[in-house]
Amino acid sequence: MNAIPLFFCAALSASLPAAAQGIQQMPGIPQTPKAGTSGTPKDVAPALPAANAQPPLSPPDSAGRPPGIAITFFCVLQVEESEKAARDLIAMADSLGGWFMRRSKSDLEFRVPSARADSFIAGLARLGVMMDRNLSTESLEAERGELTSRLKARRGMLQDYYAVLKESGDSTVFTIQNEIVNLQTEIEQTAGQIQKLEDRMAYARVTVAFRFFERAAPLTTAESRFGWLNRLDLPSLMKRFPYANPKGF
Amino acid sequence: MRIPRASKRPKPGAVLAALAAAWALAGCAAFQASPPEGFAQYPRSRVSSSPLRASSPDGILFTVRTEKNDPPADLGFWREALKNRMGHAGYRVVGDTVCPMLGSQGSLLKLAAPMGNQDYFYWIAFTLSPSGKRILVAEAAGESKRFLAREEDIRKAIANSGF
Repeated sequence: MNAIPLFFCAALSASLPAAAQGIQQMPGIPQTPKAGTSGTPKDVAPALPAANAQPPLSPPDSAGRPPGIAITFFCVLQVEESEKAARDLIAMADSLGGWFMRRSKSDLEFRVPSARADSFIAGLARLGVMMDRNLSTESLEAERGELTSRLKARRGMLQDYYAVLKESGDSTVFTIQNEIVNLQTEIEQTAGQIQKLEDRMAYARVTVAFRFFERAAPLTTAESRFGWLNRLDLPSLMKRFPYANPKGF
Repeated sequence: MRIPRASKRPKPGAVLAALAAAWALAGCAAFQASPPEGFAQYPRSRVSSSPLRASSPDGILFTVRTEKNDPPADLGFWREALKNRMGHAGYRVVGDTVCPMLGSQGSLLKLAAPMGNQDYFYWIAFTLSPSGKRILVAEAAGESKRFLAREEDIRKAIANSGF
């Protein structure tokens, strides 16, 4: 084996543990995603919280669901003040070990530990009137089993390729290196898929869309028998401010 | 025979004095008021009973004017009548308190109402003139969050308004 393939082989070997154990090291997927904190609209919850900032969690729900179930919940909640409701929801998610993923004026998206999803969903009804709800569950156990088997097989193949690489001559080394690179990519992708599945199993996705209570503007026609009272209302107050520059502007 | 002139032509100062006296007799009493801190005041006419109008840079409005106490009634009566009228008009009464207004007792009604897609606060404070013929009305309104940020300044301005 010449110097270049040996160097290449050493580089591959150095990166092997990371590739082979990609489940723990996939970028962009939080390992222990928790503790989204309150923030302004369009904030994105922090991915990794301080390790010692965990509030005491309530006991898991006794929903009796089998393991490997992904929970997705959507509801329309009619509230009077969306800001206050959003703050209460975020506090409730925090207390259950969850966090918010996305926040806008009209809706909120949470990740809540699946074991406590039922508590969270039950708590929503205390904050407003639930106009619509949709709970869906999906078993991901079979898919995870299949991917795990594939990952195990690919890792086995990778070890075989390394063994072959040591014995290969100049004519075959590049082919084997290509195969190793392809296999590593496949292992990382499979590990990533498994991690996504496990993330979906571990944390329920809850979306709350706000609907506001009827917001009727004040009536300007509500007449009083007392003349000066009829001149008191917001529209007429605004009319008294013409589009002229006041002093100081 | 020469017809004598009925009278001399009156001096301009005397006319103004007469007008002022007539204005006062009509009950258009002058009042004291100044805009809340950080507000810009719109030009006001020279007549001291003309309304005061001011606006903050973020659109909170403040105005003070007088109304005739007609039919003559006390503060408690108008407080009740105002609360009823605003409630019927669709405003939500957030608070109903008394407040000092330049040494006299005033009444402050705090209201909330939606305006478009925003929530507005609308405060109405009023007090009676010493003669009881006029009512001084101070109004402040604006988007709720911005209003709350200026609440203390508005409260001080109301306290410094009166006859």
